[in-house]
Amino acid sequence: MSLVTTHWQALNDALDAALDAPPNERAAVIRAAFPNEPELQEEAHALLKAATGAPMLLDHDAWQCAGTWMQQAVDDAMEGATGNDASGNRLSDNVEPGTTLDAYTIDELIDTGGSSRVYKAHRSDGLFDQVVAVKVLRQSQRRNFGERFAQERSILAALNHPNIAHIIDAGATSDGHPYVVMEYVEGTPITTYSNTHRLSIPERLQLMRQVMEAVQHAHQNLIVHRDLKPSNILVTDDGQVRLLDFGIAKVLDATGGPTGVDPYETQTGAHPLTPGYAAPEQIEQRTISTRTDVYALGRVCYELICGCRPVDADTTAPYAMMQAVCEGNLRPMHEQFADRPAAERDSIAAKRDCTASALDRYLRSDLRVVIEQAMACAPEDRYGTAADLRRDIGRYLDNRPVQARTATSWYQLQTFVRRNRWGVATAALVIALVGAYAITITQYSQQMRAERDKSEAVTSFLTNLFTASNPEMNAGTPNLTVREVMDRGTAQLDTSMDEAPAVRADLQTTLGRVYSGLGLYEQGEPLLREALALRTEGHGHAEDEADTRSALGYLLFRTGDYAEAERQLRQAVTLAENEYGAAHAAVASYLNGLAILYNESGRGAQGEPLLRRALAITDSPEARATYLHNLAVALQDQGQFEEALPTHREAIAAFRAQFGDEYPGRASAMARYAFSLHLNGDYEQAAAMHEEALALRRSILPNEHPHIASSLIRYSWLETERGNGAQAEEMVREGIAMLGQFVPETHWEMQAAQGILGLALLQQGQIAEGRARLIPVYRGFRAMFGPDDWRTQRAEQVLRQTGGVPSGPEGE
Amino acid sequence: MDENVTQLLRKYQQGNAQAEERLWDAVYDELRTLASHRMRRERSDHTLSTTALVHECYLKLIDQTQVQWESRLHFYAMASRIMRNILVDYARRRTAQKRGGGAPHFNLENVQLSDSEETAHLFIALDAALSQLAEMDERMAKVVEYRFFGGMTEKEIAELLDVSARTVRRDWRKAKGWLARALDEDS
Repeated sequence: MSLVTTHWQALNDALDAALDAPPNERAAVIRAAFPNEPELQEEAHALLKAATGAPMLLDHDAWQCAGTWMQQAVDDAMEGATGNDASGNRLSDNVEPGTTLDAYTIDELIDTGGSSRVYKAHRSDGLFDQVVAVKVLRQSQRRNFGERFAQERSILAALNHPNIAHIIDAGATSDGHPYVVMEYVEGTPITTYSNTHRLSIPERLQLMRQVMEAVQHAHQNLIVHRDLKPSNILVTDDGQVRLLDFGIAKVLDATGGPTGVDPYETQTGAHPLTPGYAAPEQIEQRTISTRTDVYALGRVCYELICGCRPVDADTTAPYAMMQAVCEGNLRPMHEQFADRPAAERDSIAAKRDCTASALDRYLRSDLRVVIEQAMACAPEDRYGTAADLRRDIGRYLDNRPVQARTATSWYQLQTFVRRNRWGVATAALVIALVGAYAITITQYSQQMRAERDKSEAVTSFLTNLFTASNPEMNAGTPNLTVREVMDRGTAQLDTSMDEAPAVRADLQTTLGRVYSGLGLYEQGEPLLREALALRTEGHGHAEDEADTRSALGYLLFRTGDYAEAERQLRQAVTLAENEYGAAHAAVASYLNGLAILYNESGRGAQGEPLLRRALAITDSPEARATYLHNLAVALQDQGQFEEALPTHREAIAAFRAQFGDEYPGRASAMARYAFSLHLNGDYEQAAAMHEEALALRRSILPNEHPHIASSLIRYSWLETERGNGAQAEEMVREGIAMLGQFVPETHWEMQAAQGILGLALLQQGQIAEGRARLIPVYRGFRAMFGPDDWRTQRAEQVLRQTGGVPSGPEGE
Repeated sequence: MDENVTQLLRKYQQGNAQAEERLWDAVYDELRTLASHRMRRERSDHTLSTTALVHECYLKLIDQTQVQWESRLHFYAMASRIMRNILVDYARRRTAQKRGGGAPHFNLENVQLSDSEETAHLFIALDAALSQLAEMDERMAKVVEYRFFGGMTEKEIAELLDVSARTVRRDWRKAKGWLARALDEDS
């Protein structure tokens, strides 16, 4: 009896303990397990060594190990069984130079692969000069190959693409080996080419984009390559990509065994594959699709970018490699790269015309997400087409967020910051902190409460980042990108952070606020409502609740729900006053929010004192600009147009000083100034100011935005008064159509716009239609603002001039 | 697609011993046919893997729309045992034919895989050592059988044995240690 069998349990336990320990502590663990038993110690060491040592038989594929003698056993059996079977002959796939195959004469052997030999040959039937490549397959069982090739030929003929080497002909040697005649391409494998030319990462990616375009062309013709690898992707001296062997695998699959129909040939792509580039479904012989090529494209990119294979350097055994591929246990590029010795890293980077640390940054960038999506284990998780992959690489090269589903929650922010290179140093800090934040949330959510202070700090960074991408706050930001960041952020929030409700509410509030700034109220409201629900359940402090309520209040006010908006904003003010005292910046900010509501609902008199109080509290120049602007609006709302004018000018100047020319806040200030000028009777200056404000809004806001609509509507009113009815009509109709996308028909601004449309129609002589639109507005104004309000009176005046003011509540 | 084999698999899962026997025969026949067919057809040796063979067998025999995922794992498990059986059986024939049996000693780490005779001897020895291991620790032996002979992934094995993938990996490493030592001692 060996020690192993007699001391099984003790040795087993010791081995478990050792394997659980870090590698450098294992010896100590074993010594500790058998302090006084040197023999057992020695045995345990030997077991451990065998368990963790070099790859052994068991690390190989059983079938492949057995292959050599299985082969002979089967051959022996077959010889006895079938005697004169063609397979019994030792056929040679070696073709001597000078041999003629149909119209081609073999010149020289140029490549030997696992399943074929490739010869350079020339056309010898005198019809025309042509150098070709002839690929002779090792398999000798393929009868009717030429016949079957003919069936495929029409499909292959469709593959007319400058980056795909054409297949010209096919046949069988006298020994029965099938061969394929292809266009001869003088070129080097893409990996070699890129290295010898020291192509940078972007250059390599551009080259791969050529490849992807060609692959896409083939896919559109229903041809899947199935064996894309660097040796099949050649680059000519003038930098053109040429893909070899397209359609060959398909031809092979379509051909059968001796009986013509191969009972074992399914549509699962049973053909020689190249380990290392084969997709999981190829190894497992499941259904092949265009996504199989997408995988291989990703795999080639991987190698081209980082110079390493995606499996551990010591994973050379086919079993381990295939398992890694099938299980999706492939390692990210930066990890593989980091594992190489320093000298090799430098050499790999030098071939990419950069330093090792620069390359490392590439490997950690969005490229990682793109490559990982292309190489996803399940085909359905990959890019659907080569074109999608190509597009995403294009997006990467343009510094735009990639479409690939994101592995990390903060990566879009990183792209966003990279794309908008404002304050690069700040951006780097934000990324670092947001990154840390993401980790904190995902990995240590249990400790969130303890980490509360830290996460608050980071949340504010996150908030700043988002807020800075809010067009209302920061101009010049392409809105589409903001939307992308937002929508993904929201989607991500949906499935994460369940364990950290307070943080979840923070982020929901931020997202909701930005949506609201973008005029996307429908998207923002549910987020803010959910956040508020979390707040009232006790997640977060009183000031957090105030913050969420103010954001919700603002949104509700924008959608026209004034009563509910006022309630939320009042509560925000009260909560903030209790929490911070009456003279805090937060209180000022909520007072401002409430005042905006009063202004917009015709209660400027109520808003004015709040704004004066807010102006007294704040010491922030940015906030002061906003409060001044709103104060001017409050005065305007009360009909004090002349008094409002200097405050308007002060606000515009304050915005310019703080944020420069291209700032949405400044545009708003100008638009309102124009309005006051108009109502004060200065039509010429008002028109010029409207023009300027509208142009600015159009240049910095999305094409469709409530503020642009608002400008159009107010400007159109001025135009009616200047006697330009037709122009006014056009403008106000555009404004109504645009605003209608953001607010309901019942919103006062929509109604007012109808009234202006009525004015424009009246001016053009369409009395009945004009009055029909103006009367409900007059009634609405009367009900909302009272009979003595300037708006009501102006409407009344127009009605009187055009046929009388209706007295009753209904009809004319 | 053989409806009957699909039904057999379901009955086998429900614990029907008769079904097990008949399923075994069906899978055995199919795997052996596939193996010899493959051998004749694919002369380039890197094109085959155990995983591929077992999966192909599954696809041929079982109507996947009629069974659930766990059934697939049970099928693979049985196929692993069968593959072990077939390979060792061929190995015996091979050694008996050429040398009349008998294997002196082995070192699992320095196998000349190109030497078909040595590999065949090694399989026979491994088979015996694995049976010994099963007496000491059944799960550990199963892990080896499923992974080496059946080409199953760690994830699949973990699911089948209802343990963590980590446990499977640890079992695998320990088993490698035990087997290497066992074969070494037998020499």
